[in-house]
Order: sequence, then structure tokens, then C-alpha cells
Amino acid sequence: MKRAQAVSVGIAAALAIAVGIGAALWRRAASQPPLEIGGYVLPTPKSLGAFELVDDRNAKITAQDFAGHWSFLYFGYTYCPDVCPLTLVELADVKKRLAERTPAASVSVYLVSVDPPRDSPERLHEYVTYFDPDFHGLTGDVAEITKLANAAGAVFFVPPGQDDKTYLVSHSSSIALLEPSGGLRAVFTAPHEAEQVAADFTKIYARYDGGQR
Amino acid sequence: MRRMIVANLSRAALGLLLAGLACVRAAAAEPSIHVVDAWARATPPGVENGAVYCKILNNGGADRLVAARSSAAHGAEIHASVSQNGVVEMRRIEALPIGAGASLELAPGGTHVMLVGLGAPLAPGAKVELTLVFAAAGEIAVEVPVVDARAPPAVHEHEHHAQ
Repeated sequence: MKRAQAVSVGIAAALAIAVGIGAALWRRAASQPPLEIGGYVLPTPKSLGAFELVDDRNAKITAQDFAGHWSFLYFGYTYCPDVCPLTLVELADVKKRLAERTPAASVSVYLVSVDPPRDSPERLHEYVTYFDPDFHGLTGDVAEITKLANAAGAVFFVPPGQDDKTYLVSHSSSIALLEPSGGLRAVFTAPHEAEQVAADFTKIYARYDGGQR
Repeated sequence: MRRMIVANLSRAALGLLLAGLACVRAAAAEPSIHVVDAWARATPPGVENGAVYCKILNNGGADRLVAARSSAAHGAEIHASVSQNGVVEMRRIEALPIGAGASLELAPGGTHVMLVGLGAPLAPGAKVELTLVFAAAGEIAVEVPVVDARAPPAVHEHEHHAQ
């Protein structure tokens, strides 16, 4: 009986401590209001799941390849003459601004093709490096691209009733931000303006980079 | 009585016809539509579609941009990038209305003339021929300079060269 009592007291004490720690953690988390950006920040990063794509240098790319650096993902295609070049010009500008503001952050920019039948790795390479020599292009099977798009909160589709050669693709206008764990951390919503995106990234980087998660 | 009405009607019709002819003559003498600040986005290598932007000023009555063509591309279409629920979609526009005395801006991220099937990449400094066809004002030929719309390198940002 005494022994059982002692165990009960022990459990109660352990529970109290656990509740106390939990409350303290919760208070700490709750004391950090969500960052306000042109888009939204995920309080906990979301895993991308599994997929296999090919990059503009013909290398196989999986979710693991996004670990270790920050990644900006834009879903577009090379036949898109208006919004895609416009967004890639802004992203090139963002990259230059971040080289000065967050020089310690390793930042990569990816154009993920929503038009793999026409966007070969070679075509993507010519296209993305025009905007910045370090930009990456990703293409592959529609099913694999769809996996990455879904994980990054993006959609794309070919509206019906179009010519086989000159068709246009509808796609999300947002830019996804992956953190160095490889998980989705934020989504920037259009319209994109380089200064706004760079300022938003600087805030996100200050809060979530390193071992502060 | 009936004959008088018919006579009056024909006189009215003749009047309308004359007034119409006068309008056409006036339009021919002084174009009511002006296309200014036109530019085409220089294209990355291998790209088959281009975009032209401009301002359309209408000093006359209501009109519509109904077609475009260019010697630089297989086809030229009026398009609008439309953003809805976070998805951007390019829509072909059959006719772009422009009100009497109104002006219209075709700008990046919105309405533009899409050049479909470029013969060659649009190189900065080159000029592209573009003909815009209006329902009332007729055809207007524009010489469109090709502009490299990439941001200047950050290190030279303070210089701000005019394009």
C-alpha cells in the first residue's frame, strides 16, 4: 500500500512536471505571433513526401536534394510569355538582395515545369540560366511533378479545347519556400515584388534558421 | 400619307449615310487611336512565344481592338493574364473594347499581345513590326523595340541607366 502510494505520488509529480513543461512550451510558442508576410508562414514545416524529378542538368532530384539550403519554388513553363518571365526576373532580383542581406543563407531558386511534354531539361536549362546562371529547372513525369506541386500548395492544369502544339497551361502564381530541413515553410502569394519577398524572407530566416525550431 | 412617310424615311436614311461618310472621312484625316510606349520583352534562347506591351490612346469614339499580326511571329493574339484564386491563366481575348476618349495600358502581368511561334528569339535592340487592327479606326502599324526586361545587376543598381 505504501509502495503503491509512493508510485501514485511519483506519477502525479511526473504529470505535474510534464504539464508544467507543456504549458511553458505552449506559452513560448504562443508568445511568438505568426510572421506577417505577403503570403503565409507555416508554424511547423510540412514534409514534401517522396517524388523523383530530373533537373535542367539531367540529374535525378528527390526530396532529399532540398535539404541543407533554402529553396524558392515557382511553378511555370517556358512557353509562358508574360507572368513567368516577370516572376523569374523578380526572383533573380530577390536572390541578389538576399546575397547582401542574408549572406550566410544558402538560397536556391527552382522553376518547376508545369509543361513537361514541351519543357525538356535542355530547354529548361537555356531558359532558367537566362534569368540567373544559378537558377535550376525541374521537370519529369506529370505524376511526379504533381506530387511536388501538391506538397508545395500549388496546382496546374491544361484548360481543355486547345491546340496540341500551342496550348497554354494554367498554374498557381504563388512561390513556395522550403527551409533547410527540406520542408515547406512559407508560401508567397502574387503579386510578387522583389523587395517585399526579400524582406519577408529575411524575417523568416531570422526566426527559423539554425537550431531555433 | 404612306408615301410621305416613305419619302421622309429615305431622306432620313440619306442623312444618316452622309453623316456616316463624314465620320469616315474625319477618321481617315486624323486617326483617333494612337499606340505609344510599345515594347516587346526580349526572349530567352529557345523560347517560341513573346509578349508586346503598349498604351492605346483613343481620342475618338468607342472602338475595339479586334486583331493583331506581326511579321516576327506565326501569329499574334490578344491575351490577358487573369489571376483567380491564386491561379494565373492566360485567356485569349476576341475583342478588347476601348471607350470614347479612354486610354488602355497593356502591361506585364495583365493584357498583352502574345506573339505565337517566333521566327527567331527577340533580341534586345531589335525592332518588331506589329499591326493592331481596330474595328473602327482600322489598322495601325507600330514599330516595337525589343527591351531586355531583366533587372540590372545589384552592384550597378545605383547607376540607373534609362532603357
